[in-house]
Amino acid sequence: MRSYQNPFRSRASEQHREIYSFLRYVGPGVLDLLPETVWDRPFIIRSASGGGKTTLLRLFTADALLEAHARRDDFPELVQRLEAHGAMGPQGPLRFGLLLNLARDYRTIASSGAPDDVTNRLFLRLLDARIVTSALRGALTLRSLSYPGDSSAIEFRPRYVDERVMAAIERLGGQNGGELLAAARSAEGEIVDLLDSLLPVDWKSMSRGHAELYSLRLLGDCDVFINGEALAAEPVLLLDDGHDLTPPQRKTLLRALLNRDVTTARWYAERFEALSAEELLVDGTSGRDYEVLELERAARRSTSSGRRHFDRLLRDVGNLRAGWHLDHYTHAGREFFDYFEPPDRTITPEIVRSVQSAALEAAAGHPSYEAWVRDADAGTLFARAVRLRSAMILIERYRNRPQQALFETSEGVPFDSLLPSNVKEAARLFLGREFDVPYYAGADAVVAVASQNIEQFLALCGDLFEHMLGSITLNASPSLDAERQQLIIRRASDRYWREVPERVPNAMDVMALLHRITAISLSESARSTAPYAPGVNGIAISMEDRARLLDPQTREQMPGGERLFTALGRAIARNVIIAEPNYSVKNTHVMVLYLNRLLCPKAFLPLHRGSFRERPVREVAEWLLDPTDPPQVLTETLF
Amino acid sequence: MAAEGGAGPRWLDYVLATGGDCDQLLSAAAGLGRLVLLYGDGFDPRSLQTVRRLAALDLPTVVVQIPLPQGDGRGATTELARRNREQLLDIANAGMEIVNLDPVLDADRLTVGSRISRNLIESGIVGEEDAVIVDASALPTRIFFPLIGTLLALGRRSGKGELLVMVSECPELDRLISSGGVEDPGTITGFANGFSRDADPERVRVWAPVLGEQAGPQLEALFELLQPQDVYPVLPFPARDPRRADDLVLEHRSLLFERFEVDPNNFLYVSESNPFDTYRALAGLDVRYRSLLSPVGVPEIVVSTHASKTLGIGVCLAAIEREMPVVNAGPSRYGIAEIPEAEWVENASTLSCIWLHGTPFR
Repeated sequence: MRSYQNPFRSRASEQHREIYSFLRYVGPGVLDLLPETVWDRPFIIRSASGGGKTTLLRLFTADALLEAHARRDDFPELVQRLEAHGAMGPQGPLRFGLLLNLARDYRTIASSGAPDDVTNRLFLRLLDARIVTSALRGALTLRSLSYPGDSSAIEFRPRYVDERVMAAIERLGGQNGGELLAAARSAEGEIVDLLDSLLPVDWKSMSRGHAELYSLRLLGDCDVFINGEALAAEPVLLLDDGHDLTPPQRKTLLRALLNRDVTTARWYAERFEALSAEELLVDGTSGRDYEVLELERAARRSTSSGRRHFDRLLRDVGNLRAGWHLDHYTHAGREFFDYFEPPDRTITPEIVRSVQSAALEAAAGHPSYEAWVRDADAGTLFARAVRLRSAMILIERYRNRPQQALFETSEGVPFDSLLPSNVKEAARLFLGREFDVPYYAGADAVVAVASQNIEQFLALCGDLFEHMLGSITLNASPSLDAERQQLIIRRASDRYWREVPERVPNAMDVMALLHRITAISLSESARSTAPYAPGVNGIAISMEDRARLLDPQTREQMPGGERLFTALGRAIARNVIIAEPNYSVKNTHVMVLYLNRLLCPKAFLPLHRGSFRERPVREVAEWLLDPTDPPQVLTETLF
Repeated sequence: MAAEGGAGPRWLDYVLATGGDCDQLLSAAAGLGRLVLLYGDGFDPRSLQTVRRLAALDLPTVVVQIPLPQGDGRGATTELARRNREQLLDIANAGMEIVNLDPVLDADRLTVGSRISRNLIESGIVGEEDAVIVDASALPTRIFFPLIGTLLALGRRSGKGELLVMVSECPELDRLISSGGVEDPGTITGFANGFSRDADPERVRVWAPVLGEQAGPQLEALFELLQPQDVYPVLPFPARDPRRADDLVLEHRSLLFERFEVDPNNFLYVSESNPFDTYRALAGLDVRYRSLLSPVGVPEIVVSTHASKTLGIGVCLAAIEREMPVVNAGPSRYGIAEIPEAEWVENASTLSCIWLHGTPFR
């Protein structure tokens, strides 16, 4: 039997060696998230795990830029954006990124048992060695020379006479690439062997270390020449996974990067986990000294065009990843998301008749309401069901209003002019709960459930693609009907709920918080008037309350305050709860705490943003002291 | 007791005893130097089995308690750990000296094993001429690997001393112990073996994980870390349950075939009960790969273990001999729902004793 691959499960294409595949799968729209100024000051990128930091950094490595330039016809949108950001010109790359992963060894230095002053110096020396090695490799790559064989062809020439630059060159081993490489390898080997020693180590004999990052000066204050010819491209340091450093190491490194004397372009990426709970609960800010990009926050920028843009990026990623495989397996020339059938076909005449009779019953005895129901009963089966259920919501709302207001506002007003889109969404949600009409279906739902997280998106697409492969194996069309889509999405949601305790340390408080937020959201979303249409999927605390939570003294006096502070920090760091501080509502500002959207389908909650219930922080803190059982919907088994 | 002969790798001749035969090896070792037992001071009900044997044989021993996390505080872990400590005092006879090792608080989880190992030597608790027994039964991989590595290095340097490893296997008890979460993946300190040095994208990296039940999250985390070009999963066969290898493939099928893109010809089969079979298979893989790829560079074979301690010991020995990096991403918490009967644990467990260094090899 022919075997089929699921491109969303396999990440082999993301490996360094397959740079063409990497470029092919990357959505060029990710570059639109970058701020304008990224070269002349430190640029800090933050996201939850799987937010796309590494992908973004890899786009700027020497080999990726070279490949994109060489095959610019294959990647026109990507090249256009790289040029717009000044990373590439008509002749080739103008930058070459030195991608270094900070997860390797550095934390071990801090755990080695060496005295603090020794560990700090070893940390900087090892990082220097790796930056130098990476710079040599990158420069040679740009000239299509071989690493390490041609290292001696490189020379770093100081742009001006400066003692500090000469001292840095001396500490790093010289101006020539061969000398630099030999010194870097020797330093790295010496340190790594010490760290990996199983027998006792005499740390006092470890005399050499670095008091600062000398490589930043080498890269920033020297021109690179290869075989006597100046390199046109400028280096950019790309430091990834900063969250893996110990807090003192992170502080040391950020201090070095923020030094205004440094002229090298330098990017630093970390997960939210690296931040303290205080940092997580305040806004990420950029300033004169550095630029910050928080990927998820940038992706859900309040402008609708910003959101649409990121949604399109995700669709592109899905279509690009699946495109080749679908073409080969089906020869149909359709894109991945073209196979997602809309929920329209799932409405039967029986459902419409049931909704119609319920709507007529709700309107009985009131001419205006009866007129609305007549107006609503038009269009396709799907449209009729949604409109009729919307009419029921409106009738319920108007019935609950004072009589006078009713006649002032609804008499003779056409139904369609009274019907906002969020009420239609609420109606769809009601139809889902009452008649099993799929709500979580279609490309928009898949993109929304991703919660602005690429990894979450790819995992969900992998689940969906697996079912498509099942059909392909049986020689059937891989189209996914809406019921199937909803089942897969709700199963993924169920799995995510079960994985939360695995993802978050000491997750009991986080789970207590999630259960309460879900219970409130369920209760509000079930109200027949749909007052927060389409439904609630979060809570909010006032910004004043947030300030109380951030203040250690107030927090200490608040029962459960300390636990709430810790739990919120952990949940936000792992993207289980999405915080939106400074959200403007009714002449005031609140911090909204949304459920990760992948948590919503299991509880049958809406995927939209903007609907939440405000709660005093004291009440929220007390939830942790008195955890309740999870809402029933969360304990039900999905088959 | 089994002994095989022949030239070649260090442990081609090996000394392995099971059940009651272990007593002969323990008694023999006691006659060759001061007996020092290193065991995990945690909640695992198997942790005291070797102490009981030594007490029954009336062998004077220095019993060193290696501090371990006491589970996640839920279920019976705290109570079991307390009971284990009390029972040690009941078991220990007049000839036993108990040493409580201080926990290493400033080390991360992958470094703590090497710090404990170094401390044992620096503090003189373990000397070059001692007959040291490492009871791996209750010790996590990230601790017993560095212990074995350090003691072998010490023995190799001095040319003295004895090293034995005890392990008590009980699959039924393993099923009672729950685990969850994934710690950050990385190399075990002492077993990096050049893994992180000059990471070269052109270098061929091959990963050989010994598969175990419920290890999916750990395998996934390690795959992300390694991004290997090729994966050689190791399966336990022959095994007490002849379908175990099939069940493991079934359990991890999505990861193995879709995510890791494993070639079905790549599976390695090793005996579940003989650590030296795992040792030979992995060392052989390293030899073959190096010889095959020598014209184009130096491949890097990385190993990890997610199964029983017996198989883990084989991984440890292969890594030491062939200088292969060992990666680990253990569960972030352990727990046990109920306290099993001590007699049941004793009867259901199989104790093995492996002599790794010293007199049999001189």
